[in-house]
Amino acid sequence: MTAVPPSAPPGVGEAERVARAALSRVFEPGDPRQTVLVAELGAEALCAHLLAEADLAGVRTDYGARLAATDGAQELERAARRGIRFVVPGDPEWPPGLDDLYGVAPVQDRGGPPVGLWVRGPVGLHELAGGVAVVGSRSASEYGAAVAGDIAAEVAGAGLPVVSGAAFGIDRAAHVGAVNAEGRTAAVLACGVDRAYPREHARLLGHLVDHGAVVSEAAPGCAPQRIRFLARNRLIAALTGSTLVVEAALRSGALSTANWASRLQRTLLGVPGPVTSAPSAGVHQLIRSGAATLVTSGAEVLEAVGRPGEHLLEVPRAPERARDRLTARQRQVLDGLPVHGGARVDSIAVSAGMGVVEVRGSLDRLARAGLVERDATGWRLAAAGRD
Amino acid sequence: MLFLDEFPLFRTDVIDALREPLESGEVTVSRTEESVTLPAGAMVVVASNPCPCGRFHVSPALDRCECTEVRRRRYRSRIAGPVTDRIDITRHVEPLRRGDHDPFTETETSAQVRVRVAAARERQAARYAAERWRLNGQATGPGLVQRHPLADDAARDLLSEAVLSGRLSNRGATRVHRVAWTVADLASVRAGVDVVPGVHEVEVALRLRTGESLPSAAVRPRAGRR
Repeated sequence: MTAVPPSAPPGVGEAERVARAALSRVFEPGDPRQTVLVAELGAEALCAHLLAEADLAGVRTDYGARLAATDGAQELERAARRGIRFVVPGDPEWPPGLDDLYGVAPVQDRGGPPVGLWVRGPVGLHELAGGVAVVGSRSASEYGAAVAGDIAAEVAGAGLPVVSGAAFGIDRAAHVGAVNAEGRTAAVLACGVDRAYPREHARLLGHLVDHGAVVSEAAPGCAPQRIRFLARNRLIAALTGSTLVVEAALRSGALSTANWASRLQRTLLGVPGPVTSAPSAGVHQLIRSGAATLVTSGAEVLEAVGRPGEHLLEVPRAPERARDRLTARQRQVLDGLPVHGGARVDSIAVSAGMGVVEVRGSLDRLARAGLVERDATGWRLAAAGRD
Repeated sequence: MLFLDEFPLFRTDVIDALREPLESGEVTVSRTEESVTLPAGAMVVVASNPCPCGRFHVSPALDRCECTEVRRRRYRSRIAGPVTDRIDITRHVEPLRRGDHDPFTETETSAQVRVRVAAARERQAARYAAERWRLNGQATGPGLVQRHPLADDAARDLLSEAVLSGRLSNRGATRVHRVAWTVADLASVRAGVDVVPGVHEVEVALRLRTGESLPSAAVRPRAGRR
């Protein structure tokens, strides 16, 4: 169920957008004192209250004072000059999924819908709603990285966007897999969208700016402080319809994203690993507790996240052998034949524990199926019958 | 460098003859009255298919193998034995996946790798200046334990645990210790600081030995860090 904020702005007034930009600069991303109040009052009203209290002594004056010194319009203009747009509720690009955050209690004092999101890149936020978040350990194993890349490639290749956090390990593998499949992919950062963090991923992030999307709740220029990752994780879960965890150690950031996905009623999927592997322990816990559904391939992810009847999978089974087409009693006769050499019908009947008449009839059918052959010594197994 | 392709197809006596040179770096040839010992220190690389037909895969989706279970088992039993106990690194080579190609990372050239390896070998020569050996691969077990030990108790425990649980022979433990030093030497070259093999290096060395999946950071240098 989606909780709708009581006074969600129906359209976007310019004043509201400016107020939200200013609030985004002043407050910590995901600070529920801000996010929930903005969702309920609107940013203009909240700004007015804070500014009115700017002269009073106490904690609130701090925000008021900083807000008074912040020019939202200038923030927007400066961002626009650098190709950064600020998406707020009521914009066509605003994904309704973010409003789901309004109905969910904060975790570690982070929660609520963002006042707005700073975005670079051609992919729109609304496109991500049907996408899959692929998250996991920064210290992934080769196995985890390979599986994440493979699944991301298949998911993105099927047209669904892949969302992740541009971190080392699983995140990177997911983005790269989606890029290789020429699919859409978006990174949600804990720092400003104009910063390359981690530094080593500057080229990847540059590619996403040109061909995908780079998204952040933190205003441009903001540093990737630790607490911002907690706020960021809730966005990865809320922006997409489903979250896939590939390798997450116990007490990891990926599990925090998984937790948000569960609380937002999103589909939660997990890729298992060896039971001896520490980076898989968190995923195994999610699967064991019933929070996540086990998946082993991109096709299984597509089936799990698709609409009913979409991307249906055939159950994998071992290839059929001639033996599988036999009745149980015919198989009994086949097993009665000696491994080497031939045997007469009565001896086969004895070892099969069956009557001679039935055995003779079965042998004729088995011979037509090419499983047994007849020669001077009697009946013997053909090559196909030895499988 | 000695490369034996399709290792399980070699005759058993050929495979067994590798034991001595793999262990000691020398080979002794004995005829009626004389015996001669020759140097035979080589990097030995053996390759094997997953089964006689080569199309086996653990994933049912990719398995195209037509060998019987018995044939497969017989083929594989030739890989597991006293000779392979003397092999330090086992890797399963998978067909390329779509996620493997990373357009945002510059691939190291062989020449760049060579520079790193040469630097790691120099570190070894310097460390072992007072020893009778020059490279990790030539170090003796007691020499390593006494004079070039692992960084801490946690690393030592990890290794002895593998031996006590039966996953590793004593000979294997020495070999893992050597490889852990090599992992540390390569890390030292990359980071420009002295790395002594600790839990991480032993873990990587154990996984290299068993063929298990490695931490991806241990495999692919992060772009921009040289």
